[in-house]
Amino acid sequence: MSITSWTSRSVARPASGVTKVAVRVLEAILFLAAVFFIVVPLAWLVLLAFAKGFTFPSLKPTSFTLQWWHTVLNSPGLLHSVFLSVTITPVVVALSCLVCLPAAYAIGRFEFPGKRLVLLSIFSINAFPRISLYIAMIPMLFALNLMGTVIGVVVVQFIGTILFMTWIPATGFASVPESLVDAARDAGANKFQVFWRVLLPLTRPSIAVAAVLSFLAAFDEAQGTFLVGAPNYLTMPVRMYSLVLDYPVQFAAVFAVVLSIPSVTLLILIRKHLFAGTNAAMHLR
Amino acid sequence: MSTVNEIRGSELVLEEVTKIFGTVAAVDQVSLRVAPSEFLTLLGPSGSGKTTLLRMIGGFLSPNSGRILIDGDDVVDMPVERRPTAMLFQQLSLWPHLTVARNVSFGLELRRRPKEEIAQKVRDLLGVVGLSGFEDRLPSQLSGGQQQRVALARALALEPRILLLDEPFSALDTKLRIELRTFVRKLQREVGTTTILVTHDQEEALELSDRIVVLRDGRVEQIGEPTEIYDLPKTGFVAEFLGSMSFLTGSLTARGVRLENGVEVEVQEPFDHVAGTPQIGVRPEDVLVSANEGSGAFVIDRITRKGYFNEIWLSCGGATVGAYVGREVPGSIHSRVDVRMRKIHLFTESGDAIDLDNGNASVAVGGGPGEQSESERAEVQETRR
Repeated sequence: MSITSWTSRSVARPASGVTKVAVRVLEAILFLAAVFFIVVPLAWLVLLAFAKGFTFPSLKPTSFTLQWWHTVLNSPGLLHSVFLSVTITPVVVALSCLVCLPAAYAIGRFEFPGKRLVLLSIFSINAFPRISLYIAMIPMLFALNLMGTVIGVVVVQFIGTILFMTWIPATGFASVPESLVDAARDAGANKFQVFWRVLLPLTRPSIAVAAVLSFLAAFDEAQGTFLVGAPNYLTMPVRMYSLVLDYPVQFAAVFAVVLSIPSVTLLILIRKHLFAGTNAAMHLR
Repeated sequence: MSTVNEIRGSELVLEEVTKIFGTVAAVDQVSLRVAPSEFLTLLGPSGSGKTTLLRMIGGFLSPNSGRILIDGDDVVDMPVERRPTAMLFQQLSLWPHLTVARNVSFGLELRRRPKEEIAQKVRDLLGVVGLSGFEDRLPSQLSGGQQQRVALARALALEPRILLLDEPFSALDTKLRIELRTFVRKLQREVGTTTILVTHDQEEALELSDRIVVLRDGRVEQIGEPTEIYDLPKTGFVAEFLGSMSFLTGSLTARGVRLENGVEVEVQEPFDHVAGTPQIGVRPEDVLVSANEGSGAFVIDRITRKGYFNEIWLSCGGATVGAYVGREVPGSIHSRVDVRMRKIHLFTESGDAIDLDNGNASVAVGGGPGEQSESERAEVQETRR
């Protein structure tokens, strides 16, 4: 889509000629800024993964090579890391759905004593440096014999998904008009059927967003996974961190590209759901 | 066009139903009986408790006390999903993620009816509401009127023995509103389901109802057939809410009314003579205005065009009267005109109708305002039960 068609559609009110030009210029600047700060670094990263002699002050690589890929893909333990990442993350997201969605339903649809406290404590998970939370958890995990186990890793990654999986669907549940629920009950639906047939489908877009964000959060989680899972369970981001420290920067670039494959694939797969859902949600208003 | 199955309408009885929100009784000891297949309207201003009452009948709210009987069975403890009632909501309430057909079949699917039966029924009902061919559309692709028709089909799919209408026409524009309510009334007569309509629109109430219940502050102000309530309002409140009415103070003479400034206004129809100074109510259509060559006791203050007729406001001393006149206004603003009245209604100071036939005139005229309205209400409920 060209910039002009994009801007002309996004200006809601008819504006005078001067304002119109000013708005267009401003939008063009914002657009270029977005390109500069999001696309350029990504492109640089991809370039770096294939580059040789690409260090300051040279602005373009002197030559291209697959050497970094060769080394990374042949490094011992990589396959294991990939396997761990792509198996543990879905388990974490599933667990998160199971635990957080009922909570989101309760928060979104009912008033109960201590609701504000619950919301505050969910928020506080993300309000402090995560590392302090992990350090506080470690004695507990030791006591439960979960250090160095898969379950420990799942638990620690799950923590990072709670906010997304509770907060976003809760607002989704809350935005379903009461009359739709009343109509369902009137038609003979019991509480479970109301949830399953009306509330859940209407909340699907926000659940999808929450699931994507949870997936990415769990997939990229490295600190806690390293503290709890090392040395047996080194997921991809954990491995990347050690590569960044020990090897040339091109190694990390290759790893970053590899690491973004699942996330990008996921986004492409569910984009239809995301946007279809957004449309349905808009129609509620 | 197919027809829908006839439904056996249920009898609905309310016994001293009360609902308290905080410290306010939203519905205060309401008792009434609705006959099978009757079309009853709960009419009142906002805050009169009409929607609360309807939601209690539907099961969305439970009363603090009192009984709700459907065909003699107390349903107070019966959850919404098991009541033989169906509601048409004020807000558009179709499920946006389901097609028109699925919206209509929702309740039938829950009842695990056979697929062919469901499909047939959906076809029939959409035919009845004039939306054949809209099966696969989503609600967002329909207009407001079409959506409310689908909602009606959805409600009828449940074969409700009592159909509850919660101001279902209020979100529509005037033309559509009139069209849809006429349709609903016709359909209700065919199907025979007992129907209760909540509205604040007097025109709707007068047009549709077998009987009207006028509610005020959670209490029944008057129950009766539309013409009965219009012609013989029990209180000034009812008179003003159903139709409109001007109130004058003055005394009654042999030929009419003597206003406080001594002007006498002729009343054509005979009326009851009561002592003292009752409130005299007159409907605008009963006020006869005639131009009297620029003289007359009343002055035209304001003229409001209503299309095929005009509403004019007249004053005489401190008294103000509204009148409906035809397209030709007998005069212009500040003109002096003569006024006669076809018919008057008499009320006590507290607004209760003075009805000599019921023998309560002495009570009404002499009694204290507070108690008197209580006793009047109790009597209304008693006689109607």
